[in-house]
Amino acid sequence: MRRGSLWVVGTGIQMMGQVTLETESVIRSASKLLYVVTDPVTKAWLTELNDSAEDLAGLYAEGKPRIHTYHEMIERILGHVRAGEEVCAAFYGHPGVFVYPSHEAIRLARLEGYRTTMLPGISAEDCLFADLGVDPGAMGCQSFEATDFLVFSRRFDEHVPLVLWQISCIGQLTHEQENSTAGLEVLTSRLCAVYGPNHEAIVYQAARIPVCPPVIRRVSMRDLPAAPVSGISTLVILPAKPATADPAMVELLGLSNSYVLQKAERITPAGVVPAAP
Amino acid sequence: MAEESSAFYQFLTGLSKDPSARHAFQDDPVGAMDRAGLTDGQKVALLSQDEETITNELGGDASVFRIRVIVTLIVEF
Repeated sequence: MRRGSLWVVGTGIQMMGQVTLETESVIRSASKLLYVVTDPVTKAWLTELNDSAEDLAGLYAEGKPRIHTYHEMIERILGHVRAGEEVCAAFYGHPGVFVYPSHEAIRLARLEGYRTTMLPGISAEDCLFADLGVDPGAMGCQSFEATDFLVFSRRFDEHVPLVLWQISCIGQLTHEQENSTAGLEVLTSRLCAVYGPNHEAIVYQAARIPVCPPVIRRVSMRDLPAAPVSGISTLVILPAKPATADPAMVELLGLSNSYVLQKAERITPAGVVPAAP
Repeated sequence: MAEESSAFYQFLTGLSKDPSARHAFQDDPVGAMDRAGLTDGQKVALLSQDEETITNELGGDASVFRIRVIVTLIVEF
């Protein structure tokens, strides 16, 4: 194993409160800390923990292809690993979820013979499960990046919750400050064909600051193109009705009818019911 | 960092890491902010519950704050 190592960690969604003890320890002990986070409080906290901290977000630029930015991030990270440093690369959320540079930096570092470890963090999807009460164990959960969902005509089951990420930048490969409504119209058309124009969708946004509640905005499918969305809005579509059980399979597995009935009753996630004031 | 900015950062750090601080804020937001010595602008920003307003008050660039979030892969076409 060559001298130099790479830890890739996640700082969670809501400031530093969601950082695990293990991740905090790695951040503290790294000889070089590189990071991409979304708020100045977390940035200040990282700088306080490790005075080698360096922000990679300056590599983004308006109109610059994101893939160029990502490769610059990867090269910056690997440069320090190749110099023999114990490097920690910290990314907002979960470092393995919707983060290309983290996976690619680990892959390249491993190919070059360096020790690498990725530690999990709290992702936006984790927050979604908590805020909306969606439990993937109840009836599954389908999750797609919105552009990928459209371009590859991903097959999905309308009886299972559907989560679509990055609905504000559908079809955009460059880094833009303005959201794309044209892409949202295309997505709406595709979804209306399956769910109908009156089916309710939820535009969700996890809270990044402790005093702010999560955004949970209900909107009918037909009104989706006009709904306010931000760069981190996610679309959640809950099924209108439960799937039909296969009686032959129920019998083959020795299950009772109460199993099927219980499943049907769990179609409305707890979080969708308004919380007590 | 100026003293008033430092107090604001510490207040938000406390809310992030300490559940009792968050409950105290939820029960009496103005009292909690007064005790922390926040400025009027900081109090207004927090009471707005608007992330961009709060980020601007923190001295961050809210537009950068918004767009940095997308660290994603749409390149495997």
